[in-house]
Amino acid sequence: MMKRGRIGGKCGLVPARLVALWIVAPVWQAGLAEAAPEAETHWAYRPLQVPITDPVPAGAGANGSLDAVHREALSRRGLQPAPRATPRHRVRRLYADLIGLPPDLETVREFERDPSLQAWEALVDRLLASPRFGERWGRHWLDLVRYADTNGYERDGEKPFAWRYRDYVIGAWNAGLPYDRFIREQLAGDVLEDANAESVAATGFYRLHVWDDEPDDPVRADYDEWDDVLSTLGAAFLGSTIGCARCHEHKFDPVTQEEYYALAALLGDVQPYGLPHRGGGSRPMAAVLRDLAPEEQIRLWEEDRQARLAGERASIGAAPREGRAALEERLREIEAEAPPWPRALAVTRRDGPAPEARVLRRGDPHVPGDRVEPGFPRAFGPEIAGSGASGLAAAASPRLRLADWVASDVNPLTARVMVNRLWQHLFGEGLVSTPDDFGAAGLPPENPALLDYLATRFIEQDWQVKVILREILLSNAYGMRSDVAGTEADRTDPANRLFWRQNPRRLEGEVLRDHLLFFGGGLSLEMGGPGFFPELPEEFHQTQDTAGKGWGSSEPNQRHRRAVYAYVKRALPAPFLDAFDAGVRSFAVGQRPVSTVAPQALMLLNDALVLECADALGRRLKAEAGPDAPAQIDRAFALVLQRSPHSFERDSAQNLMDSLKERGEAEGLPDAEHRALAGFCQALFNLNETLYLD
Amino acid sequence: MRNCFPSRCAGTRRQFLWESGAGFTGLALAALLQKDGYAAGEPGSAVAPTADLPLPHFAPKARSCIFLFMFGGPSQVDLFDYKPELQRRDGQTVSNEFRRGTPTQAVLQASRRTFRRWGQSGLWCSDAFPHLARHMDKLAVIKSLYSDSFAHGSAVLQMNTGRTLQGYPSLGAWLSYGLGCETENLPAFVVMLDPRGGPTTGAPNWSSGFMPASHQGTVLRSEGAPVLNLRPGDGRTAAMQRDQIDFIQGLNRAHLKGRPDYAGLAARIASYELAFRLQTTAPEALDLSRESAATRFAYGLDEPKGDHSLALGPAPFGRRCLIARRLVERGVRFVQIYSGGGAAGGQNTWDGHHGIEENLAIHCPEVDRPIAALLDDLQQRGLLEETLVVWGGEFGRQPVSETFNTGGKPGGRDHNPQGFTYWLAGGGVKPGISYGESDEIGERAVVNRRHLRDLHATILHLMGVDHRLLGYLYGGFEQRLTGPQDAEIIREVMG
Repeated sequence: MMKRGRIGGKCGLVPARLVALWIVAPVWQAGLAEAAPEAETHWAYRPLQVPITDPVPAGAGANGSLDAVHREALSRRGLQPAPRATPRHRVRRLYADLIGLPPDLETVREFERDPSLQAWEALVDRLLASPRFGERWGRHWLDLVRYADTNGYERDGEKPFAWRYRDYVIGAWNAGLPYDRFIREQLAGDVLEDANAESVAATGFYRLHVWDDEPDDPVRADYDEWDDVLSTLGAAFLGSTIGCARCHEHKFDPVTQEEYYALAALLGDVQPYGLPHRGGGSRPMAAVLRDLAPEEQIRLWEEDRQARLAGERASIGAAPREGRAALEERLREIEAEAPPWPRALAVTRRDGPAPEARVLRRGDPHVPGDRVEPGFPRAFGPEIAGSGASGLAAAASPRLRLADWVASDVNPLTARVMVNRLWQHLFGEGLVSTPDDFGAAGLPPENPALLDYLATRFIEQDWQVKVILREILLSNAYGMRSDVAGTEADRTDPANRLFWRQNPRRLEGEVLRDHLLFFGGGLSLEMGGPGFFPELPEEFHQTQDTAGKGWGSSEPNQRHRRAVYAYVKRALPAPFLDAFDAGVRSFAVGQRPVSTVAPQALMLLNDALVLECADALGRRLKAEAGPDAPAQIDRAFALVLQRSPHSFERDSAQNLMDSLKERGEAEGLPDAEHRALAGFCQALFNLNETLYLD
Repeated sequence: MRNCFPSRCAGTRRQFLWESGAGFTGLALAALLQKDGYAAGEPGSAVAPTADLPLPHFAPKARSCIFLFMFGGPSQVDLFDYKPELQRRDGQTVSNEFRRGTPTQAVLQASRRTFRRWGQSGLWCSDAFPHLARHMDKLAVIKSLYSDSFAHGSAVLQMNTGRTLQGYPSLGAWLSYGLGCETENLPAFVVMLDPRGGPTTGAPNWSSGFMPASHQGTVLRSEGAPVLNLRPGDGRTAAMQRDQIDFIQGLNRAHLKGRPDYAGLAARIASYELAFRLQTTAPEALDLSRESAATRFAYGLDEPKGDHSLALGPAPFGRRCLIARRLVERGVRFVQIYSGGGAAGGQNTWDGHHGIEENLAIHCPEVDRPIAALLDDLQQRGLLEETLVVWGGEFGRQPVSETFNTGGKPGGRDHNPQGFTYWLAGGGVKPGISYGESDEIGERAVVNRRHLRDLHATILHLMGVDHRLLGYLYGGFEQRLTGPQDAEIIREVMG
């Protein structure tokens, strides 16, 4: 089926760049000689190897090459890809994966009538172009950078304008911003030659960590913060646990403590989040906001303001005593004027020089050791000189060097780690199932050729995420069935590490919540801006030291926006999302756990928002299907599951509604008929078929 | 290190099982190890449990643990750590470190409490705890603990999670993860808060950190609906909810037929039956109406509120202690009860900046009778030998009079992580002993100094867990409750 090829047609594996990126090959070759010997031994630090495949076999999907690489690994183990899933399952899967919302029945029916490749392609393109796409995929990224709107700890104070970073991420995914640019903007968006408002907002990346405003040891706390940023950067962009080398040499990976501090030194110009402080009490935040306006505009505005202030002061000096109060009031108003442009939580430059880069013994800033030169772990490959422009500007900030190194075509980790994430969110598992650890303590890919194939394509296609997603979505692999138990393949590869079938998976907490609101017709698609405050049970507020602290209330239309826009308060993890594994948002999370416990059932049976959505769907059914139960049942199945009920399901639904109505009347509940309908809707929300994608 | 997990190819199934208890709590590592016939060196997964030995690692002394958390930081020199020298030098000016690296001149403040020795053991206890004093022969009092933070936020986190940094799993989560629960009808890890509010930093104190949410603490309320969403809202009766569940289960079983191997679906089906049962079993565990009048009296449930406007009297804490006994009787692994709540810095917690006498007068009577009754009750029921009771706060207090937070008004005491007291009782604890000493004024631990990670290691040990072996691979290395540093169990307090 497939040959391992290299240029000239002989067999073997070829470093991808020799095929796809030959221009930089000499750089890579020069670097390889310098690379540490360990880099030769661990797969993830080797240069990309591109598999050369036979011509696309007849009957393959639109993306024959990907499928060929996929099949090659299967056939070596005597496996066949599972058959294609039904059109309905594929459409449901596609909608949930790309936009996190259910399809409508008509779309499913249309694709059932014409399940052609062209129809599929059109569907894929439509969803990739939807603004809902960025909301869905931005959420994955926000997990990696542990996005939250507050600092945590005792006061759990707000991170002002953190939401601009969230909006930046959603916008970047929607716009199809190339991933290498996405990296550069987050790491050095303030010092890029073509920096703009968006790229400055991107540097909010540096500000999302938990922050203790009253640390026992403020000096150490600043280093903890530094380490937190570096660890998150390592996990998110590089799938690397470099943070481990802070106190000692890395236990698994070839990263020395010296290299850790060399890398950390590249973040030396980042102003720490808090100002120096001694003694008790809360310490102030440093200047962590930036004006999103051209410098010239800021300068003119400030000059004008100063001139007006000077004028006021002069008039106060000249005014008689009794007239001064009003003038002083005017002065204070001018002093307090907010600038007319938006501001963002962003990186700001350290006031003084960065601390000298030294190894800290046992990670303790009070025990500095040898000096280090800023630089990169050798095992990850050679440093790339970078483009001329940023090479020149590197003097402006060492973060430019860092950004160039991470976003480099020849960094062996960056592309691999990202395409693995893309695959993971379309298959439930990554080709590397430890997406944030490509090191020796992680798991190697069972199909490394497929990973490298995708990574190579990613770089070839100028790091365009949507292009790679599209290739995967058009493959046969993506369209496979998941429900193929009890086969020979199940015995050969029970964990499906080679992806001989699709994986069934549960909707994530946010997606589930958005689905429920969508079913009732109440989901607001308003995008961006400050987060809304979900309504929380009163008793839940009591878990904070001061009930209601830092929590606002939002109008219903705000509360019905997509979950990605919910305010994230670290001391008050929203119970619904928390129950469904949305996580604590303190560390980078590339893959959420999926737990199944009884409190989740209680949530879906009794939570106020779920009841509200069920009630809304009930009203919608009456409006759309009329007063008769059979039509309502059919319509409910159409909206929630995009299919008609089987006869036993129709009977069960009718029985449920009858019984609920009878019991409601016996209890003397008003509106027993509507409550019965809502009770049935709510039961539909609880079905495994609703929560799980096939 | 690396041989702990040589290969991880079978990780998925194990990982799945462990995340899907279907019960109240995720399945414990212990249960998994049993099911898999797990032995040293067998597959784990990079995100799944790691362990070298089956759990428990050795015969546990205690099956359950009740952790009585005096939030705000109780004053050791006014309660258990009697310092004659401090009493003699009342009013002398000394140098005192009131925040890390920030010395000040301050005035020694003797305790206004009266101390005496109690019982056979002759352990010291002040008159602030007249009821508890009668139980000193049951306690192992550790007077030489120290920890790493002068500030509530990081100190409370460290007491709960072993780290001053926010985001790590708490002690209860580690026990849930390692040992699970002996009942599926109740959570493995229960937290009961003070009616005045939660502790500083809130939920991260009972978080499961990087472990699945199923191991996090469940906040149980002693009044009203005990657990969030336990009761059907919107006027629905239990019968109506049963109708709904029958419909759900009928359709789910049909759906499962085409997908028999996908265990997540089956686990979800099981979780609905349990959820329905919980609506009866959880309130039953909290129903104190079946307790005798004598028991209710002993726990102080009928006592009036104190005179102080912030005082609650012993009834609320007593109710939580009595519920804790009922929970451990039913197999709950770890119960944490907070005394003191709401914003730190006020007299609503044990944070006695603004007058230590007033603070003790509010809080000691609230917990004194209930704790004494709990120890008695556990003993009478034969539960004390298998229940570990732990008492303490996030730090202790200074022997000097505070003026920093009080605008110069004397009488208060500031935070002190340099030396403070905890006591243990029950399962596996050597009763009636005092371990370690603070200096002559009670400021710093000096004899047998023990970091609080040693206390955590000791608690795990008494529960049958070796702190060095219970690990969780996250972020590139094996995380432990006691952190990367070596911790040593405090053998001297174990029977």
